[in-house]
Amino acid sequence: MTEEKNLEQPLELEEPTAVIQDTMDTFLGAAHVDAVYGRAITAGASKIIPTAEIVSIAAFGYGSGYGISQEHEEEKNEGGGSGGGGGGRVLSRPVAVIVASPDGVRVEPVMDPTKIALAFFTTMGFMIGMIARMWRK
Amino acid sequence: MTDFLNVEIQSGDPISYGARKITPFAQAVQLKIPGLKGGLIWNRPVAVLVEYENGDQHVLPVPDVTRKTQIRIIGAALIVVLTSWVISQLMHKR
Repeated sequence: MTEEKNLEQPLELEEPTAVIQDTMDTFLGAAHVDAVYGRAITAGASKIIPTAEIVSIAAFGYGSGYGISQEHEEEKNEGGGSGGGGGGRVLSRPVAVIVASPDGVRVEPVMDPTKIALAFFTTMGFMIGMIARMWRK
Repeated sequence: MTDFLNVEIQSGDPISYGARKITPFAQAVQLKIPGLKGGLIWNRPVAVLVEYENGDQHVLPVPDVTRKTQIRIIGAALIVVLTSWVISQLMHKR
Protein backbone atom coordinates (compact mmCIF):
# COMPACT_ATOMS: atom_id res chain seq x y z
CA MET A 1 0.00 0.00 0.00
CA THR A 2 1.40 3.35 -0.97
CA GLU A 3 0.56 6.74 0.43
CA GLU A 4 0.17 9.70 -1.82
CA LYS A 5 1.52 12.93 -0.47
CA ASN A 6 0.06 16.22 -1.51
CA LEU A 7 3.18 18.21 -2.21
CA GLU A 8 1.27 21.40 -2.80
CA GLN A 9 0.39 21.62 0.87
CA PRO A 10 3.32 22.67 3.03
CA LEU A 11 4.47 20.20 5.64
CA GLU A 12 3.46 21.26 9.13
CA LEU A 13 6.62 21.40 11.13
CA GLU A 14 6.65 22.11 14.84
CA GLU A 15 8.23 25.44 15.60
CA PRO A 16 11.58 24.99 17.36
CA THR A 17 10.71 27.79 19.77
CA ALA A 18 7.48 25.98 20.71
CA VAL A 19 9.45 22.82 21.48
CA ILE A 20 11.86 24.84 23.63
CA GLN A 21 8.95 26.56 25.39
CA ASP A 22 7.29 23.20 26.13
CA THR A 23 10.54 21.83 27.53
CA MET A 24 11.05 25.01 29.56
CA ASP A 25 7.53 24.66 31.00
CA THR A 26 8.28 21.07 32.00
CA PHE A 27 11.59 22.19 33.50
CA LEU A 28 10.00 25.05 35.47
CA GLY A 29 7.26 22.68 36.67
CA ALA A 30 9.91 21.05 38.85
CA ALA A 31 9.98 24.24 40.95
CA HIS A 32 6.34 23.86 41.96
CA VAL A 33 5.36 22.48 45.35
CA ASP A 34 3.20 19.77 43.71
CA ALA A 35 6.36 18.27 42.18
CA VAL A 36 7.69 17.55 45.67
CA TYR A 37 4.54 16.27 47.39
CA GLY A 38 2.80 13.36 45.75
CA ARG A 39 -0.89 12.63 45.63
CA ALA A 40 -2.29 11.46 48.98
CA ILE A 41 -2.89 7.70 49.13
CA THR A 42 -5.62 6.33 51.36
CA ALA A 43 -4.67 3.08 53.09
CA GLY A 44 -7.34 1.88 55.48
CA ALA A 45 -7.98 4.63 57.99
CA SER A 46 -4.69 6.37 57.18
CA LYS A 47 -3.65 8.84 54.53
CA ILE A 48 -0.10 8.68 53.17
CA ILE A 49 1.60 11.58 51.38
CA PRO A 50 4.92 10.73 49.69
CA THR A 51 7.56 13.45 49.42
CA ALA A 52 10.62 13.63 47.18
CA GLU A 53 13.53 15.91 46.38
CA ILE A 54 13.65 17.06 42.76
CA VAL A 55 16.73 18.33 40.96
CA SER A 56 16.13 19.53 37.42
CA ILE A 57 18.92 20.67 35.11
CA ALA A 58 18.31 21.97 31.60
CA ALA A 59 20.04 24.17 29.05
CA PHE A 60 19.09 25.25 25.56
CA GLY A 61 20.73 27.32 22.91
CA TYR A 62 20.13 28.28 19.32
CA GLY A 63 21.58 30.51 16.72
CA SER A 64 21.30 31.55 13.11
CA GLY A 65 23.47 33.09 10.45
CA TYR A 66 23.25 34.60 6.99
CA GLY A 67 25.87 35.45 4.44
CA ILE A 68 26.46 36.63 0.86
CA SER A 69 29.39 35.51 -1.24
CA GLN A 70 30.83 38.27 -3.44
CA GLU A 71 33.51 36.26 -5.20
CA HIS A 72 31.88 36.58 -8.59
CA GLU A 73 30.36 39.92 -9.53
CA GLU A 74 27.82 38.43 -11.93
CA GLU A 75 26.75 35.58 -9.70
CA LYS A 76 26.22 36.32 -6.01
CA ASN A 77 25.61 33.42 -3.70
CA GLU A 78 23.68 33.88 -0.54
CA GLY A 79 22.53 31.56 2.15
CA GLY A 80 21.63 31.18 5.74
CA GLY A 81 20.95 28.64 8.37
CA SER A 82 19.93 28.16 11.91
CA GLY A 83 20.26 25.49 14.50
CA GLY A 84 19.79 24.77 18.12
CA GLY A 85 20.09 22.17 20.76
CA GLY A 86 19.68 21.43 24.36
CA GLY A 87 19.67 18.86 27.03
CA GLY A 88 18.55 18.25 30.53
CA ARG A 89 17.83 15.83 33.27
CA VAL A 90 15.40 15.52 36.16
CA LEU A 91 16.52 13.59 39.23
CA SER A 92 14.14 12.54 41.95
CA ARG A 93 14.79 10.93 45.33
CA PRO A 94 12.27 9.99 48.03
CA VAL A 95 12.80 11.95 51.25
CA ALA A 96 9.99 11.08 53.63
CA VAL A 97 6.42 9.88 53.95
CA ILE A 98 3.77 11.85 55.83
CA VAL A 99 1.33 9.55 57.58
CA ALA A 100 -1.98 10.91 58.82
CA SER A 101 -3.77 8.36 60.99
CA PRO A 102 -6.41 8.55 63.74
CA ASP A 103 -3.46 8.66 66.22
CA GLY A 104 -2.08 11.85 64.67
CA VAL A 105 0.14 13.12 61.89
CA ARG A 106 3.78 11.98 61.74
CA VAL A 107 6.68 12.19 59.31
CA GLU A 108 8.52 8.94 58.53
CA PRO A 109 11.94 9.59 56.94
CA VAL A 110 13.02 7.45 53.98
CA MET A 111 16.67 6.39 53.96
CA ASP A 112 18.36 5.58 50.66
CA PRO A 113 21.04 2.95 51.48
CA THR A 114 22.45 2.98 47.92
CA LYS A 115 23.23 6.72 48.09
CA ILE A 116 24.78 6.32 51.55
CA ALA A 117 26.90 3.33 50.44
CA LEU A 118 28.08 5.28 47.37
CA ALA A 119 29.01 8.28 49.54
CA PHE A 120 30.80 5.99 52.02
CA PHE A 121 32.91 4.14 49.43
CA THR A 122 33.71 7.33 47.48
CA THR A 123 34.90 9.20 50.58
CA MET A 124 36.80 6.10 51.78
CA GLY A 125 38.64 5.97 48.44
CA PHE A 126 39.38 9.70 48.62
CA MET A 127 40.52 9.41 52.26
CA ILE A 128 42.82 6.44 51.69
CA GLY A 129 44.27 8.05 48.56
CA MET A 130 44.98 11.35 50.31
CA ILE A 131 46.49 9.73 53.44
CA ALA A 132 48.68 7.40 51.35
CA ARG A 133 49.94 10.39 49.33
CA MET A 134 50.73 12.38 52.49
CA TRP A 135 52.68 9.61 54.20
CA ARG A 136 54.59 8.62 51.05
CA LYS A 137 56.46 11.98 51.01
CA MET B 1 16.74 37.30 45.51
CA THR B 2 18.63 38.00 42.26
CA ASP B 3 18.11 37.17 38.60
CA PHE B 4 20.89 34.62 38.96
CA LEU B 5 19.69 32.91 42.15
CA ASN B 6 16.18 32.67 43.49
CA VAL B 7 15.19 30.91 46.72
CA GLU B 8 11.55 30.72 47.73
CA ILE B 9 9.35 28.73 50.06
CA GLN B 10 6.02 27.74 48.58
CA SER B 11 2.94 26.28 50.21
CA GLY B 12 0.75 23.71 48.52
CA ASP B 13 -2.96 23.08 48.66
CA PRO B 14 -4.09 21.86 52.10
CA ILE B 15 -4.93 18.16 52.37
CA SER B 16 -7.87 17.33 54.61
CA TYR B 17 -7.84 14.40 56.99
CA GLY B 18 -11.01 14.35 59.03
CA ALA B 19 -11.18 17.73 60.72
CA ARG B 20 -7.42 18.23 60.35
CA LYS B 21 -5.75 20.17 57.57
CA ILE B 22 -2.24 19.37 56.40
CA THR B 23 -0.48 22.12 54.42
CA PRO B 24 2.78 21.14 52.71
CA PHE B 25 5.71 23.54 52.31
CA ALA B 26 8.60 23.20 49.86
CA GLN B 27 11.76 25.19 49.23
CA ALA B 28 12.75 25.78 45.62
CA VAL B 29 16.21 27.03 44.67
CA GLN B 30 16.44 28.29 41.09
CA LEU B 31 19.81 28.94 39.51
CA LYS B 32 19.79 30.63 36.11
CA ILE B 33 22.74 30.75 33.76
CA PRO B 34 23.06 34.26 32.27
CA GLY B 35 22.76 34.29 28.50
CA LEU B 36 21.47 30.76 28.33
CA LYS B 37 17.96 29.38 28.42
CA GLY B 38 17.65 26.90 31.24
CA GLY B 39 19.36 26.45 34.57
CA LEU B 40 19.03 24.36 37.68
CA ILE B 41 16.07 23.85 39.98
CA TRP B 42 16.45 22.15 43.37
CA ASN B 43 13.11 21.60 45.04
CA ARG B 44 12.77 19.84 48.39
CA PRO B 45 10.11 19.35 51.05
CA VAL B 46 10.68 21.48 54.16
CA ALA B 47 7.79 21.00 56.55
CA VAL B 48 4.08 20.39 56.91
CA LEU B 49 1.69 22.53 58.93
CA VAL B 50 -0.98 20.54 60.75
CA GLU B 51 -4.08 22.45 61.79
CA TYR B 52 -6.27 20.70 64.34
CA GLU B 53 -10.00 21.04 64.79
CA ASN B 54 -9.57 23.15 67.97
CA GLY B 55 -7.47 25.73 66.10
CA ASP B 56 -4.08 24.45 67.28
CA GLN B 57 -1.28 24.52 64.75
CA HIS B 58 1.75 22.26 64.71
CA VAL B 59 4.73 22.38 62.33
CA LEU B 60 6.34 19.05 61.49
CA PRO B 61 9.74 19.36 59.77
CA VAL B 62 10.50 16.91 56.97
CA PRO B 63 14.00 15.57 57.71
CA ASP B 64 16.29 14.39 54.91
CA VAL B 65 18.05 11.49 56.63
CA THR B 66 19.98 10.41 53.52
CA ARG B 67 21.43 13.91 52.96
CA LYS B 68 22.35 14.30 56.65
CA THR B 69 24.14 10.92 56.64
CA GLN B 70 26.02 11.81 53.44
CA ILE B 71 27.16 15.13 54.97
CA ARG B 72 28.28 13.33 58.15
CA ILE B 73 30.31 10.79 56.13
CA ILE B 74 32.00 13.54 54.06
CA GLY B 75 32.60 15.67 57.18
CA ALA B 76 34.16 12.74 59.08
CA ALA B 77 36.40 11.95 56.09
CA LEU B 78 37.56 15.58 55.86
CA ILE B 79 38.36 15.65 59.60
CA VAL B 80 40.37 12.40 59.28
CA VAL B 81 42.28 13.73 56.25
CA LEU B 82 43.01 17.11 57.92
CA THR B 83 44.15 15.43 61.17
CA SER B 84 46.34 13.08 59.19
CA TRP B 85 47.81 16.04 57.27
CA VAL B 86 48.60 17.92 60.51
CA ILE B 87 50.25 14.80 62.03
CA SER B 88 52.27 14.16 58.86
CA GLN B 89 53.47 17.80 58.82
CA LEU B 90 54.55 17.58 62.47
CA MET B 91 56.33 14.25 61.84
CA HIS B 92 58.22 15.66 58.84
CA LYS B 93 59.37 18.74 60.83
CA ARG B 94 60.95 16.48 63.45
